[in-house]
Amino acid sequence: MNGPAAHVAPPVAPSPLRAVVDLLASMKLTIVLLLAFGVLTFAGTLAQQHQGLFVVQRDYFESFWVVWDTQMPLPLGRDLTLKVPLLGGYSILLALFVNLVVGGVVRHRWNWRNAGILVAHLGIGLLLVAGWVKLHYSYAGHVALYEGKSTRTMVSFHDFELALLRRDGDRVVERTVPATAFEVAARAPRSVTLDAPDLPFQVVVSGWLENCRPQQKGPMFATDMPVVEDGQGAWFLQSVPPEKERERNTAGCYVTVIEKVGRKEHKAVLHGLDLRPFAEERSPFRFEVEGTTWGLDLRRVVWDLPFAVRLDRFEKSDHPGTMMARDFSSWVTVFDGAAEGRPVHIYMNHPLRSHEHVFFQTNWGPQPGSSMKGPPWWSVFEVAKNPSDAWPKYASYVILLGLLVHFIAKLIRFLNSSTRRATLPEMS
Amino acid sequence: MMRGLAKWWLWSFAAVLAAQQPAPEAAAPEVVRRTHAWSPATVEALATLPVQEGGRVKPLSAHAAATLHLVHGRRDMKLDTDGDGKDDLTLTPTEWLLDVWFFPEVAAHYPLFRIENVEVLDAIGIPHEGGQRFRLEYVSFAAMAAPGRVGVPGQKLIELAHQYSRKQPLDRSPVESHLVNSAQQVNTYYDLHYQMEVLRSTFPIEGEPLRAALGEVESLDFAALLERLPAFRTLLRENSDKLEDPAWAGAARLGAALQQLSGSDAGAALFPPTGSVGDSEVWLGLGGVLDLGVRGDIAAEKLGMVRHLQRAIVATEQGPRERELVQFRDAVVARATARGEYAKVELENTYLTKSWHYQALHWFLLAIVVVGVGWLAPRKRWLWALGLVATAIPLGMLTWDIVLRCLIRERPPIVNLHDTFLFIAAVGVAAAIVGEVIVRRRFVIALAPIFGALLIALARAFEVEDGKDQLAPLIAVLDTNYYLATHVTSINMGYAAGMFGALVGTLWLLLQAFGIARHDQAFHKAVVRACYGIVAFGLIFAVFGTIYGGVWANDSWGRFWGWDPKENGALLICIAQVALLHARWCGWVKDLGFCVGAALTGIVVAFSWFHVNLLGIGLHSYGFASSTKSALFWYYGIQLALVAVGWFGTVMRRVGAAAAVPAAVPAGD
Repeated sequence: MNGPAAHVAPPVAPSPLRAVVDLLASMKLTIVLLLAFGVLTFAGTLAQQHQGLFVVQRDYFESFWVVWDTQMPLPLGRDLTLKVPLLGGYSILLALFVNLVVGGVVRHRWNWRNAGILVAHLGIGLLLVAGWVKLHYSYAGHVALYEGKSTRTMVSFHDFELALLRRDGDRVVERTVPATAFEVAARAPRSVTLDAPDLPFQVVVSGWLENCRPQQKGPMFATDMPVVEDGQGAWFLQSVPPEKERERNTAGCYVTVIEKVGRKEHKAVLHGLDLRPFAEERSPFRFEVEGTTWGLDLRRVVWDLPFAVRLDRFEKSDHPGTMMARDFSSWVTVFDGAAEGRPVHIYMNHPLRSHEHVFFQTNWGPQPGSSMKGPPWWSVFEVAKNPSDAWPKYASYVILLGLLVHFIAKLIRFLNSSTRRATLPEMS
Repeated sequence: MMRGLAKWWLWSFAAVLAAQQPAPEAAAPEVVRRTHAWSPATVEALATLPVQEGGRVKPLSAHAAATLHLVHGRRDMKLDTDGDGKDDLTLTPTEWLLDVWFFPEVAAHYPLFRIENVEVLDAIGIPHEGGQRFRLEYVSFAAMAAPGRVGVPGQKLIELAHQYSRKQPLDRSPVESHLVNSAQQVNTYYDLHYQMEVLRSTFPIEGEPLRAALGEVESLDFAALLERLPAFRTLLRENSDKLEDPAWAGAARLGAALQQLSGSDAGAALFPPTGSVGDSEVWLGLGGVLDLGVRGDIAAEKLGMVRHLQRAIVATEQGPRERELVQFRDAVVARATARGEYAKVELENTYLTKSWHYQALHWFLLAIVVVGVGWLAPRKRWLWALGLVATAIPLGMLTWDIVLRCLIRERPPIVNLHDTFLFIAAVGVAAAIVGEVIVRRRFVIALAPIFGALLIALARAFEVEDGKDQLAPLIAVLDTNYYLATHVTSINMGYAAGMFGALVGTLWLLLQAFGIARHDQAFHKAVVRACYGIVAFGLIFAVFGTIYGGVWANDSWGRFWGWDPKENGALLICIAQVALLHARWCGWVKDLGFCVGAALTGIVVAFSWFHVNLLGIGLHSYGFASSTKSALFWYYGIQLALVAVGWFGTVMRRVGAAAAVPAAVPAGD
């Protein structure tokens, strides 16, 4: 490109390790990954129209790969169905992180001229790490409380668990299995057997439905689903099409408890409906084996909180003359040691952060137009435990600093450059 | 709900009448017989009458403008009063609203509801002359209520809208969407049309007991009845067991009528509460005032306001009518001032009257001419400077417009999508002026006024399309000036740079493709450098704005990133710009590739800015009408076509140049 070279050295094949490092450090790899990420983001965004946010997040952005199933409109009103395999968000972001560390930081020239770029890359690295930590080490749920009520547990939005309960004196001993461990395998016609050596029975889970409602079987209609008799009638699970907003789904399944001695069977229909804050108490399926009463409950995953929280007062105000919420906020008391607790005001954009948990004001009830009327009011908090909660904020400052340093320095260099002066037009 | 049913019933009643009459043929355009005119002084005074609507106190002019926008799609009403087929009178929104309130029978004949598709007219049975598909027609309220081919068009409209409103907005055909929107417009106008009806009514005082309590009169008007409501209330309380008696039928009927009226407020609230804002924030309509009266809680001051308004309504001459109306306005202003709610009303009225951004639109158009003249004499410094000044003047107007909006709302510059147009226009033009001062090659300043004018025109089109109060208060989650000032402002600066970068990139492509100034390589290089600078500028704000949006979401929704379509859109802009800059740095693209990438980034920005809101999912789903979507597809198509022409032309020109001078070293990519 720059004229004939005086001397051409014979090409030396790089070592395999060097070649790998060169590839990982390559800026061209960065571009390819960014373009792949752009295509994935575009495809995922369009897919959200039909599949909802949760499913797309899981299948597109938290996966290693995905098949983008899309239809393109053609003339004459026909659609062309395309199935395009794409790298998933997990793979791309992991590769980008490696590329960033190797190419953007380790292999980058560490000098003042590149200081801004290095800082910006460090910020992006921090952001990616924050995302990874969030994906693997965080969980989120909600707490719904009536005024005057308190709790020290939070409930998952999406996930279910099967809880085996046993009363031991005045306490209840729980053993739980997350539904993610068996929900796919337990879909009809298959079943999953749960067993533990110290239990006198096995639990067979079958007929798993992502969204369903229990129905009482009457004589006037037939159903393909299994029907289970209990003391109050015959029950079956009626499948309901899954909602795009996954938190609206209520899972259900059939369980058969088989005693290890005697093979006696206890059958039940379990349904994960959660009625909090109206009903705190749940009604698990009860059965007795070898003189001990056990309970089985399908419920949304419950986590213990490191403190108790009581809703003292909820207040909602509308813009005058409208039903548009201007503000809704809760006054709570947090009991984390001190007997009398400490008062906290939680309102929009002002969450409570305590013991690595964050409480956000997210909803309330009874809502206008519903059959119930307040007061009393209930307040709903989204609760998240995320070790990397504040990291993105720090990352944004670092990235901003890096980009500003880099581009301002570049602008100053350009303003002082002879190139610019040479291209200025002559004017009189 | 009850009001909706009542309207349904009224339209049905009109339909019964209509069925007894022959369906009319296509009628000639209506000639409006306007019987009156408002004096400028009265209109000016009434423009600053404070009213409460949509959760805030605003001038009547703002309420009138927003309503006229919603139902008419314009901010003025043009009338043909002499029947020559040409409009000869233009009413301001305040004049129009006063006409509707005080002369509803006349205003009902104004050409009001904009019908953009004759299939809509066919669907509701309004006769028309042409089969032209996209003819624009204005239909009066009287035509909506008159007998038509399929009954009463207004009733048919509401029936069809009811049917189509069950469909998801994105699943509706253009005609179905139009019918749903038109029904909303007719409903809004219906409320306005009948808002003052109670002041024209008289209430019969029937039966001896009622007359003994309320005075020996045959009937009472609204204000007089309000005065006597405490006595009526006492009468009912002491004789509740006698209301079944025929002698008390009149009292029972009056009680039932008052009960119905007291719960039927529609339109803007005109009467401020007597106490302070802390006691009550909610203003009252005539139904609310009646409710106060029934409870024996009405103050003399409020009664005085009602009396002035009623006298204005029933006056037969314009002079006394206007005098009473101004007295009503003065009383309301005095109360609103005492409550501390009048401070922004005059400012907002001035803002609307001056309409600085609309003035800026005209000045930008002038600036395009001035800059164009400057191109004819490129070596004249004073012409270059004149172009800068001509662009800076409307920028100043636009900035002042944005500042006024901030002062009125006490918010940062952007709180809704309409604001984004004005802000992006201002930022883009300001950055262009700075860029022009740096590079001095006149192309940035040539694009700036075009960019500014286009964005302001889009803002006005969006305002009509949206049909909402653009200064409306915020929902709870947006109530944070900190994040509005940081995240929203910076992400929109990213949008501005992305769009302006696309414009500059497209300009370079077209210059290359058509060989414009092809011998001035320094000029072409300067365009690319400007494009690079704008993309880099945009990247800083897009990245910071996107991440800081996550920080806001983390504080309000409990998660930093939820892959919401709007978040994805912002991420796509960052990805596009980062990929483009990296491709430039590693030499994968040169001038041509960079400008193609920058031009295509405009499509990404448009997708993020508006299209994701149309997807009907996520936390930023606003459900716009189909015309916004079609406008977006038009932009995508035009931008892609320009890029294709630019790229193809540039490549062909280079191939031609290489073939003509085989010895020359090919430049660029």
